[in-house]
Amino acid sequence: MSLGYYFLLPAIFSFLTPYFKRLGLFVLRGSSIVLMFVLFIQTLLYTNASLPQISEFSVKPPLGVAFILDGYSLLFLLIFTFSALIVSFYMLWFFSANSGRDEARFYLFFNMLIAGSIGLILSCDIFNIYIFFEITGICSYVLSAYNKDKKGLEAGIKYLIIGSVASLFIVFAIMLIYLQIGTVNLGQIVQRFHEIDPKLAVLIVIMLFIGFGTKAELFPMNFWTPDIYQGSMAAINSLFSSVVSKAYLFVFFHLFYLLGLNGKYMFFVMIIGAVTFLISEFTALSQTDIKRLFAYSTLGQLGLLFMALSTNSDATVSGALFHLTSHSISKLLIFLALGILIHKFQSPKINILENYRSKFLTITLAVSFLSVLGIPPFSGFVGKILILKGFALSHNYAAVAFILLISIVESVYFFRLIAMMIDKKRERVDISISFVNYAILGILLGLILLFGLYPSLLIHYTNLASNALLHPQEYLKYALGVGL
Amino acid sequence: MFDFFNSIQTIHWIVIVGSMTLFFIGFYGLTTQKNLIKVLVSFSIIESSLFIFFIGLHYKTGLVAPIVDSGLKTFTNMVDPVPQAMILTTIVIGLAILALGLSFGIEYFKLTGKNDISTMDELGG
Repeated sequence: MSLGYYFLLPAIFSFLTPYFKRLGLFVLRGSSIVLMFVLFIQTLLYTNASLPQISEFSVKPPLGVAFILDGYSLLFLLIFTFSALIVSFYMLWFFSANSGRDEARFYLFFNMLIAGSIGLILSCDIFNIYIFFEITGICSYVLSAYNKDKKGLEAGIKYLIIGSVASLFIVFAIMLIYLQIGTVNLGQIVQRFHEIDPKLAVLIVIMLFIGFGTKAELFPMNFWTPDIYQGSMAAINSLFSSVVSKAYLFVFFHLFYLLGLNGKYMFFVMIIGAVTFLISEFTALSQTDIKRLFAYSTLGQLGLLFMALSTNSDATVSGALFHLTSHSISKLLIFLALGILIHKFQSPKINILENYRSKFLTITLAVSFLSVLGIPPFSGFVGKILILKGFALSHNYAAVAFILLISIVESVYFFRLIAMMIDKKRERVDISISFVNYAILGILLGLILLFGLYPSLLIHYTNLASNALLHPQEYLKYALGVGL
Repeated sequence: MFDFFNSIQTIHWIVIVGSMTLFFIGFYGLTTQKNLIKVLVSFSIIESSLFIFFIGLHYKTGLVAPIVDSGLKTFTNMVDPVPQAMILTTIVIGLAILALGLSFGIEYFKLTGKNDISTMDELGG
């Protein structure tokens, strides 16, 4: 299958949504599941293929547009297609529990969001990256305003304004690059980036940093994130946390290493990541809205990932990518399980954790909390220990101490939440969980345990990914169209 | 005596000064206006200034359009068509975002009767 179908299929399904709706709700819901299943199976098939793979459209690069799949994008493709599959199953339950919603609008933008995120990680052309950036952006604005209530619309408006500012910076950076070296192909930009006047190059880097950093939820520009999470539905939050922010993080580090900024700016990004981690985890302590709390937790974990991914050492980057995968799985589980509780009690306050009675939900939520925190034998532990090992190997003991200290702060609110869930004195209401939700949460729980007990299953792919990220020579050869 | 105005440097300077003025008008609107629609209009102005800047700096005299019929026989004496294509795409995207923002504004106004972004305080810890 040509890589182009990764973008084309979801886009076509998105445009066909009105016809699917006319055929019935069953077709509408089923089509999205079938689509995401096909994409996920195809990605699993690519794990055995030789990488990188390239699909050019009509003209060969550097003149034409192409999609390139290397080890780095393969890991993200696996995460995205898997998350999309899980969320599309979850929406089966959601829409049968909340009948009368505008389902077509959700599926239209959901499929398009996946198309945009996948395009963002596959394209090797900075202008196409901008276009997919906007596609993903527009879909996430609409999805965050999906509940057309005050909170939803306010979140949508805020996200739209912030997103437009970020895109202005990226457009300006792309224009400056084109004015200087006359190309938008990533391979050629990398080859000729040194020709740009150093002062102007700094300006371009700052603009790209602000543009992608805003969307990837980096510290000074992430004040908007908790509002967006609070205003939108839990299922959409799970997409934001495990797909959208990860797609922007992908592009951020792809450009960071391709343009060779890891020498000059490594320390800067590391400090910014550390500050993000610190401030987010401390702010999370005082939250009373549960979606806001996990928004801050997501920000904190992203800060940790920024810290670890900018280190330029194979061991740390591989560990960070492991942690990223396990964080995606855990946050998917947390937000989907919270969605069930929020639907039952119709309240986003933190005390809904004290009011339900369901052993299954308590166990799955507790396991995912402990996994994010990094307690053995769950997958988050392996990720965190690999990051710490990487920092220790490069003799950066300050970072090790910092991460461990902040993890204590993190543990305060996670253990408080677990205590609320298992408190026996409270009066509790029985909660019924549908079969679909048992299956989804069970699969996610199984994955957390599986990657915790057999990390070598995933480490193979994270090593591939870190190798492709830190040593992009193969990627550049394909991007330039050499030897095609 | 009007050759001065036809020289490429003059045109580029006019474009740079004009688009930067436009940029700061938009920036002023963005920072001072509280009305959602005015904020969105300021965005449009900033975007337009970037488009004019980019297209203007690619303006060249004495070259033909990159169409095979218009006297173009070789690929040497033509204008670079990529900036126009890029700007067209960006204009379409900007229009889509503007329309989406206005529709959000209308929905929000129907619900609350407000369109002032400084009074949007439903969300918060």
